[in-house]
Amino acid sequence: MSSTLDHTDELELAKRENELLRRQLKDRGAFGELVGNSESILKVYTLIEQVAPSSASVLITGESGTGKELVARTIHRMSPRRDRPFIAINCSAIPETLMESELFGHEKGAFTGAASRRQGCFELADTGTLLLDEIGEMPALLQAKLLRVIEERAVRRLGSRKEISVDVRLLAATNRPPQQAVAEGKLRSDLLYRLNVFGIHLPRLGDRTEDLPLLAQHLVTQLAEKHGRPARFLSRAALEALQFHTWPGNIRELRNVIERAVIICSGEQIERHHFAPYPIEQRERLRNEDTLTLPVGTPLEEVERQMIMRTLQKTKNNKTRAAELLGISLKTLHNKLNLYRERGLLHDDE
Amino acid sequence: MTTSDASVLLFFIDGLGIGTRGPFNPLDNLPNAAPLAVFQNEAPETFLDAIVVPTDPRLGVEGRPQSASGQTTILTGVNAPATIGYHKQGFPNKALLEILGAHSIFRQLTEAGVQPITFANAYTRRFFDERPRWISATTAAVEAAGLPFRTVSDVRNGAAVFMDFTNRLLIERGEDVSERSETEAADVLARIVAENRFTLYEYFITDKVGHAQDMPMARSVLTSLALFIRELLIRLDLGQTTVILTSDHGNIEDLSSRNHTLHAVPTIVWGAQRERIATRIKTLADITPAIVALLTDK
Repeated sequence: MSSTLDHTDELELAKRENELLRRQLKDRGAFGELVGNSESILKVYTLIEQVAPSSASVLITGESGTGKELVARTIHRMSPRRDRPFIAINCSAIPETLMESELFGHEKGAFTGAASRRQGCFELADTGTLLLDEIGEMPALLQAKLLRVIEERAVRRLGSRKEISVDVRLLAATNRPPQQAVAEGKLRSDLLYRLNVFGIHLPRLGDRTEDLPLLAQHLVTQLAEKHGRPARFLSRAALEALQFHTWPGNIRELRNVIERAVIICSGEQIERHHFAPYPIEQRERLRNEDTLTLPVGTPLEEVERQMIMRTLQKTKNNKTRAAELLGISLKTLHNKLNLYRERGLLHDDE
Repeated sequence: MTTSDASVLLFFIDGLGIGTRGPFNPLDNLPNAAPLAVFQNEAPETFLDAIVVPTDPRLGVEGRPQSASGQTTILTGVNAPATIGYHKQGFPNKALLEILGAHSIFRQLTEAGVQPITFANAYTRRFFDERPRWISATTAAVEAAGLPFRTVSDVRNGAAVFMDFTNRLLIERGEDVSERSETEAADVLARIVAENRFTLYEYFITDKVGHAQDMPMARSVLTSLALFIRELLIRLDLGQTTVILTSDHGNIEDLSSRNHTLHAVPTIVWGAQRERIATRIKTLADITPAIVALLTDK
């Protein structure tokens, strides 16, 4: 009966904590350790809320730097296990020869160098949560052993015959599409089913640029505190420079850029020059040269004219090259330019 | 595998049809909705190796398929609407009770010597104290074989699952039980399935939400139900257990109307014997014969 009461209390506490997180979200556009209030990230918050109270395995997918570990930590924090251990292991960062021991532990003398008994991640995470990051990088043999551990809910340390029962909630993360990893033979499909009972996909930062101001401000505050620096906010120009960038490295890249700026900025306001020599400005110029921005609803004829003029500008008026780039014949290009002249939209000096 | 090793879980969901995508279908673009997200003219997104059989609930009888006659058909193998001449809603009438009494799957299996068999759902004290005038098709099917009912006390002891597997409804009704996550409920049902050769589990909040035309509630209920089913499936030995998920009629897949739909329902089959079962099923009347044949090796 006492265990029932404990369980009820845990659920009650988890519910209260979830309510607190929901309020944070409402107030500041944050959810646990996650920041943003774009539509795509709000969907992620909903999924976390749905799955956190259970012990279901969750597969978190998304490009490198999108915040998969933060999602894992938030799930743990919102679950009834939040006061138990949270252990994360990166399957791509540990040599294959050591990974089995890292996961399942070893007895003294189990292999050369095993000077003492050691608990593995499963034992360390017992009653808590274990995140297996970059699961697609786990060697095939270990995937088979992992599957057995999941099914039997027990581990055996290297060099031991004794089975140790473990109660671990498994979270896994990968930056490659899991079905593709299965098709390439990198991930066992039976293991994928057991890990992917619930899936959460994180959007690229480039697909939620509306979150950039909130994220950038959050990082400035956090990193200035970490480094004891005076920076408090970003100037409008600095924020605009960040918004021009495509962020292939996602939030991790943004964090690196802001961390550097926070360190070198001696005042309260971060300016765009604090990002130099990071290639944001260069990319901004490239973007200006290579792109054409038009309001939605611009008539197609006008879109075509502006694209032709911008392409001629890029090719320094080399019409043969411009026609090639535009995928039209030189004759068509001349016809269109003549038409623009007739309509007074082009002068011979242009 | 010998016949005496084989077991079956019949997972019955009230009011789940195969609809089309669109703003009135709560399954459309619902994340983590497998295996319930089945749409017309689309390859279904399954979970584990499953066969989805679009199944006819109309059974050659005019009108909208209804619960009492549809469930009677599922649980007996007798085309109940054809027998009584119409689709009967709500609870079974005398004619349907006679069909259930004579042909209930529990009775057929008992007479064939297939044991143990069970209904995993729990009943509240009120059911035993104030015997309701109208009983559900499942209740009648269980009584036809003289099987005992599981109780709220069994829920407390981890030996039964309430129709609302989270126990929230029981708690609202003042019962002294703990709330269950999908994982915990799946643990309990998986244990019951492992101990029995035939298990029936019934879930009917889907039909209630469908009638209420409540989109947020429908999406929430379906997400939780789908997670419960996936958690259950990974806990079962599908080499030995065949899981058959089915419904009596459509409803929740189209919230534009409060009525049942005319859609086919999904019968989804998992396990080593899935092809043997799936090839036999065309209508709701084929489900009980397929299960009885599998468990008696006919």
